[in-house]
Amino acid sequence: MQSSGSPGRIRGKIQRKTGFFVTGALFKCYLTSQGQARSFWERAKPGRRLPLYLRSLKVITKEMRMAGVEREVAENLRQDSRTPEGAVIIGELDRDLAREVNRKSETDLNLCYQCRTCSNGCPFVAAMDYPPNVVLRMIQYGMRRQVLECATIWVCVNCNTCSSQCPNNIDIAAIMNTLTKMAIEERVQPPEPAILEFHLQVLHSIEAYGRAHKLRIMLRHKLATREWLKDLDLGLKLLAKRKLDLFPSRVKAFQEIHRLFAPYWKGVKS
Amino acid sequence: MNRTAALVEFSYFPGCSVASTASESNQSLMRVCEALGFNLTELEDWNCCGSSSAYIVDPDLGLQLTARNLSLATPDKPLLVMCPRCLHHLRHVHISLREHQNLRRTLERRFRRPISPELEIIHFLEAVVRHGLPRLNAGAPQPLNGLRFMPYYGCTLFRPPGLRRERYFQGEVENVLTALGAQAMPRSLTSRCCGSFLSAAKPEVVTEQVNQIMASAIAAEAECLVTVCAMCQLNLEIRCTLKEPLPVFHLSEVLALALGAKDYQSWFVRHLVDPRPILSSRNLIR
Repeated sequence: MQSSGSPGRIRGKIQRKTGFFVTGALFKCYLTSQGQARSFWERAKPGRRLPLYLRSLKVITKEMRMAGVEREVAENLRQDSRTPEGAVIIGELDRDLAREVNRKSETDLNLCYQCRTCSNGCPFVAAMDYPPNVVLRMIQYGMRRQVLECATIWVCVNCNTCSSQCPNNIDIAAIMNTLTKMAIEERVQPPEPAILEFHLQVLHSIEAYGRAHKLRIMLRHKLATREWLKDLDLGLKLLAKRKLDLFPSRVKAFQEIHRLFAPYWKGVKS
Repeated sequence: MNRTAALVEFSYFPGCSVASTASESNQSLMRVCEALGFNLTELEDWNCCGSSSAYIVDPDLGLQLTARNLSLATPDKPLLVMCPRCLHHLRHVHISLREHQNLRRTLERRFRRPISPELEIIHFLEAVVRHGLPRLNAGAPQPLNGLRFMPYYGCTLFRPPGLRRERYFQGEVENVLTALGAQAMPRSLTSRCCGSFLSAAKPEVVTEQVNQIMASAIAAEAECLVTVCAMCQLNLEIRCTLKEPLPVFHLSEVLALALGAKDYQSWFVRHLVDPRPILSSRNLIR
């Protein structure tokens, strides 16, 4: 278990072992003479427990950060089979995430003081994995991977209930839209594939006709999600009521529409 | 009584839903506009504003799609919008193009048409309140006979934070319809979101919301719901699993009915929950 090599001559402070209690185990880090970080676990002494919020946190020390090896330690930990699932590894955190989201969504999420008005008002919070205020907190922490992988950003329908109730005037819906876009750009596997699939079908319809053609969107959506029987009766009822037009209405100057989409599909799977 | 004989001119942006799924809303709107003296000119070759999908997948794409519609409108008359979501996108993009001159110029070059910063964008409800009230009050031959309705605004109308400084028209549906003799039952979930696009991808979530909204209307002793949003109307009808769902009207349908339109049968057959029994019980239709 012991890592190879002795602590090197990078800086005096780093040479000592650093240890932290994590999920009941003692986590130790060493820096090797080449400046590489090694880590291993020991069983924690009974009776020593971490506060709840730190249980799944893995801590990277200031010394490691100064030596510029935090990424490497984080990588080691991620590979380590003993790392608990869902653990947050601080070395992986993106300290610029909040700034990036703020810039892209033109709002200031650092004003959030966790009053949870957004989560209490959100009609869809039950369908989310993290309530909106937690998503904001995760952005502030820089938990890029966790934020972009969460279902909340896809479940949000932009009803703006949170945004209009937020005492600090944070446009939370705009933040969710920014995050979905970032998740697509970084090709994160969405936890709600059916929702993304639906959006892409709407976009395909707009690209093809300039307008949304609901029958096509629904059929393609069924094709993609392979749930033909779901809502079949409803679809037939809508057809009988002539609510679903068989043929799309089209924009004549489709070139103009087409051009808008041209740079776009490069970034997204089509 | 023809004091305001001059027609009020509008450009008209129907939006995909109103043009297809909710064409009964469109037809009744035409009747209302004839009666109120609004002259609508449909925006030539309009396109989808991007809906929620474009803005979720890529806000820039949504902005460009919406901006194309703005470039088609002329600033000499206001642009009347039927769908709250379209209204939100059009207004929001219009405001941000007014603030970002460079972006506006880029888009103008792309579409080879000017985008007027002075263009006024108004919702149908706002148009009725601002331009139609005198005629509405004077010319309603068929008052609504105490029809008990729940005004359902949905989530998007006038609420988004980007439009915080815009006018806020909460309560106007009640004002208009109460003046026509209906009774408002607003102590219910009048602006709870219906679930929008989740209706396609996660119907069970939408069913829960819709049932809550419908149950609140029933608890408030309403006989029907009147909504300003075509999307909400569809969701409320198709996703409600209550035993006896209330019928859901488009605002334009109720207005047209009060203004004496005769072709209501062709709208009401398109409803999944037949509204005709309630209307006949109030002697509103034969």
